[in-house]
Amino acid sequence: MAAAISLAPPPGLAIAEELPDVLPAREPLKGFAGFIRRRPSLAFGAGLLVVMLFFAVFAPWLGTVDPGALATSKRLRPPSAEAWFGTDMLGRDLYSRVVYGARVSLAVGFLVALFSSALGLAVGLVAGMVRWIDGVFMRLIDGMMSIPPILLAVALMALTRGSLQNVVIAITLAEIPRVARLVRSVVLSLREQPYVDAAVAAGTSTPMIVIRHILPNTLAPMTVQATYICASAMIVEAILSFIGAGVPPITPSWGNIMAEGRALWQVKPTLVFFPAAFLSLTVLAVNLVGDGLRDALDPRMAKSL
Amino acid sequence: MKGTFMDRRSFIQASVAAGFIGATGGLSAPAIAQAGRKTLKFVPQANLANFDPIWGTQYVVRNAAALVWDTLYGVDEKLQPQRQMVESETVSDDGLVWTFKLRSGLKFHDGEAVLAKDAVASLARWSARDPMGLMIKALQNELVAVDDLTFRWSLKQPYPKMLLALGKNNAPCSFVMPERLAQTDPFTQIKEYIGSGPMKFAQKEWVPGAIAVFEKFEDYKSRDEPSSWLAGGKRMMLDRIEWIIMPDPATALSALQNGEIDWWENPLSDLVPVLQGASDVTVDIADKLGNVGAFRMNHLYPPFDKVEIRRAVLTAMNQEDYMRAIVGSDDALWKPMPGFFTPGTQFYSEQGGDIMKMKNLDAAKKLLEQAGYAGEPVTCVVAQDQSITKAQGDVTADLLRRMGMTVDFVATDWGTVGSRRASKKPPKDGGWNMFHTWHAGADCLSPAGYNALRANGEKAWFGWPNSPKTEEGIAEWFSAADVEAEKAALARTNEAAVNDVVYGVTGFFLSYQAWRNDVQGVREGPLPFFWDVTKA
Amino acid sequence: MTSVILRRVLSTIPVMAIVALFVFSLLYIAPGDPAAVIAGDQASPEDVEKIRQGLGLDRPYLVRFVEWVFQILHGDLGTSIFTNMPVTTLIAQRVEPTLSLMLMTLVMAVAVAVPMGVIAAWKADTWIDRAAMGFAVFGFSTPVFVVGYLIAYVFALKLGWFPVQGYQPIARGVGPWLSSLILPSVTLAFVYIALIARITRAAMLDVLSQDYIRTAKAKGVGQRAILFVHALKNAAVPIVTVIGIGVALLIGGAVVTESVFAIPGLGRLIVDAILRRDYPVIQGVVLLFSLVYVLVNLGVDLVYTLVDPRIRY
Repeated sequence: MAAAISLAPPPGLAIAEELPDVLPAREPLKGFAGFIRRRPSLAFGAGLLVVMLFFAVFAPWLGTVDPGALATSKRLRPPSAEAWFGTDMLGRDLYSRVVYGARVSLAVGFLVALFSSALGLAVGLVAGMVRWIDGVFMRLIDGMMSIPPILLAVALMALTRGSLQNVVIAITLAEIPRVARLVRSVVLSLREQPYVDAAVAAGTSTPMIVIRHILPNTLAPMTVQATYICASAMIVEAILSFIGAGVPPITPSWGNIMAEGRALWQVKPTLVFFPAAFLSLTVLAVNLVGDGLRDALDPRMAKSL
Repeated sequence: MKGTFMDRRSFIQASVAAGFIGATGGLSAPAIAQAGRKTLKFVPQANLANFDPIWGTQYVVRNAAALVWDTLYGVDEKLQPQRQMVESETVSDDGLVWTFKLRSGLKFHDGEAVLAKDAVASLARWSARDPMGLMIKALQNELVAVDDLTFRWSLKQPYPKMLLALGKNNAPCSFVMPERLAQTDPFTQIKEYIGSGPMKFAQKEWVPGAIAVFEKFEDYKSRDEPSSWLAGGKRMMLDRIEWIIMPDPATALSALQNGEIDWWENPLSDLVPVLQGASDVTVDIADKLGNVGAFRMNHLYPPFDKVEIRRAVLTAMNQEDYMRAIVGSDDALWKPMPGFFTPGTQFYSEQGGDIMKMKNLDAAKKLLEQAGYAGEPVTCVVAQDQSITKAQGDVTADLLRRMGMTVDFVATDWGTVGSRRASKKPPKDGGWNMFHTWHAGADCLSPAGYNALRANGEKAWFGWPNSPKTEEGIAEWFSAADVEAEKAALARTNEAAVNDVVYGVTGFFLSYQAWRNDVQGVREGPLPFFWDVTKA
Repeated sequence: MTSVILRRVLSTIPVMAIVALFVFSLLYIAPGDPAAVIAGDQASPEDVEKIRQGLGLDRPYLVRFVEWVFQILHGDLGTSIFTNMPVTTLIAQRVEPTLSLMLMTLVMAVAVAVPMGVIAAWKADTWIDRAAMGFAVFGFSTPVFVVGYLIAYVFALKLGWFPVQGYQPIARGVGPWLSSLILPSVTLAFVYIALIARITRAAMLDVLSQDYIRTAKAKGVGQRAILFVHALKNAAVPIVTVIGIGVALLIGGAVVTESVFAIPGLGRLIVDAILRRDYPVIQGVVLLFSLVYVLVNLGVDLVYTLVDPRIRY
């Protein structure tokens, strides 16, 4: 039933393709240099991500001013020693806004990845372990997955006021079905494994089986999936802001800065360029980390992707 | 169950097919017929989402309706109502009985003659919705057709502003529709768009949110006088006008530069330098009457139920910040405005307006303290999809924060603001403390079209200000005998409205319009006038 | 075989039922009052209340849901609150641009992405492979509107090759139709190409390591024949699947692309409807998009049930 939907990669922006169905094996790391040489794109992605995290965490100490402070007499200034990226249409400092924006985008990315993994894991485990719930859950999940995720997130945002919390909830809800499907398929394949059969035969309780045998094996594919969800969530956040349904516009998020600047694209391309570059680099970094993790955690897939 | 599924599927197939056939059938005919005809492509300020100018009163609906429907009177550029569909009128000496005679030979787009019964039904529907219409209706004895072309409106008390009411350009205008349409309930939309104006509405080509098309009405009988705003002969030099909706100013800018559109109603002022630099585009002020920026405070709930706290906001604010945020860096485009009536017009007054010039944050903080402001949150609802409300909201958030007030900034869209501002509930239960909007300067000339200034408490516009002195002044104006008395009445109104802070004026600003050089005859005015416009 | 197909077809019914319930409930609890928007900025609170009653917005949930389901079963998606036009008409008016955009994007993306993926797999671990996959990651990492503005600026405004905006119906000629579609399709194709190219590469690498390919090589079958005939045929299932799944990406992307290029399609219809709280339109379009998505994937499944009898559900 509905096999194409269940077996294939998730729709939307997440891009995990296939699941490992065996226990992942870790390769031993031979020093930092060896790591970089062996996995250059993972190293590059991780490095870039660390830089962005640095921006996010230390935003107030990086030469920034209050990102919300208006100065209408100094609007639309070009980049200068005083305002490194110039100022926007309300005279706010673009550099400060972009640096503070890293907080919002990364928060959305990480929180959505965390919550959708946790909730998706719960739903997937229950569905995978309990037969009669499986039917109901899977119908629900098929239904939700038939609504394109951006439409679903936009529709959810239309329900409520724009806030960071609501954006995270909306994107999380749109992503949960995908994680749940992934976890369920891992659980179903694990249940066929002889050692699980053996555990059942030995009278181990179901929660114990889950904790000992099932859970550890879902972690690797879920970690990979979570990075892709993180990347996807940051893009969706920008699109929500573009449509006018994102985090509150007084919050400087990259999506908001671009949405505000887009009308002036021809006269002040920097208003879109700087946040777009930061967003693209961050998403790129997360995607590269995701690819790298997948290669590292799943040697079988590593050769092919 | 299976049958159900097939129903849905075949429905989708049918509608997909209908889309192709509909689009092909609907669009190929005009495409072929277009050769040699003059088509103007116009980008309006907003989407034409509904098209009943009595039922919905957005500016964009009024502007489109002015092409399709004619009015009994029309104001000219001097703001004087002139006869339009009416040939002559008489008023009895006691001012109680108005008798109007229509011009003969006027026709609706369906070929039917325009008769007195149509005018009577249209006025009845209009007077159920329009603020001035409601005043007349309250005084009405009877409104009847006397013969085919004559109708009579008799009143219990004189209403000196009758002709202005029938000719004003403030929505809803008293458009004349065929009787069968005008009999529609005023709170239900009409389903056919038939008028007697110079252009027909091509209903089949209308794609709300994308395009609206108007075709020349060959049987339109224009007046002989030269045209002036809604008055005079509305001679159409164009065969077809396409209103193309563009949600994105960056796209509209490129399209105008590329010659894909002819006329852009409201270019962002920050983009105007690009257009001024283009040799084949003309840019000019759209309307000297401009616009009045506004924020409204909810007078029913703390903190703005206290007049001192409302005054504190006026004391602290700097209109310059609001205006620069709206119009950009060109200082010729805005003026501070320590009053409520449109600057540069006869009733403009600064009486009592000194508080609006103070820009004094410390004085404001002191006022807040004296009024006992205790950190009650201000729920500020701001529409993000309108550049004017968004810019003002950003400035207000900064202002209140600097004053030391607690701001609960609710970013949302114009639709939600529209619904939420109507709620009289406490802010925490879905109500509000503050929202932003703007009014066309043409609406703020006098109390005639100025709903936002009314201060009759629960019956007033959103925010429900209660200022008896303001209301007294307005009443005096309506019954004033001459211009001097009118001016005196409105100066007093202005002072009272400032003292009680009916609403917050953020300044007066002009906006631009831009068109390709091969278009001639674009004029200034509160709405785009298409008559006498030519395209090479 | 017949029962397999029948079961697969029937499985779409509960899916669509859940979509319907979800879509209706979602918008039922939505705040925001269309009546106030309709009444306009100058309307009095009493006017707003009267309009609300006129629209039937004050009736209870179950009444409205049951009515709504009955209506859709009769092919009636209701009437738009704002335009007073039937939702089916609004959708029909806008199907052509969106369908054209999506088909064009699909053709373009498949034409570029499949060869790209095949070549990347063939040249695995060379700079060609890295460049192709680098492009793919980049495609995932850039918001679609940024791509759109860049492309429009360069190819329409600076070079003048294509119109900046708008859509020309195919009835006005294939030339103008194509020309109006090129830039939006390229914009929208970016992400889609990235997705398909990655899957194609992965599927090809999988197939290329199989024994029968080695056998073919050993028999002296030409490189090109191996790649594009033997291997691609066997890698087709995941590729076709992801093309079907990716339709969701296309739908999401169309919402943004249609705004950037001022194309009067379904994507703009739904954004406008959401901003204006036009419930019947939102419901109709989400339902339609979901149905299209479900049907496309049903079609994909059925095609390989027929083509490849090994697949069972």
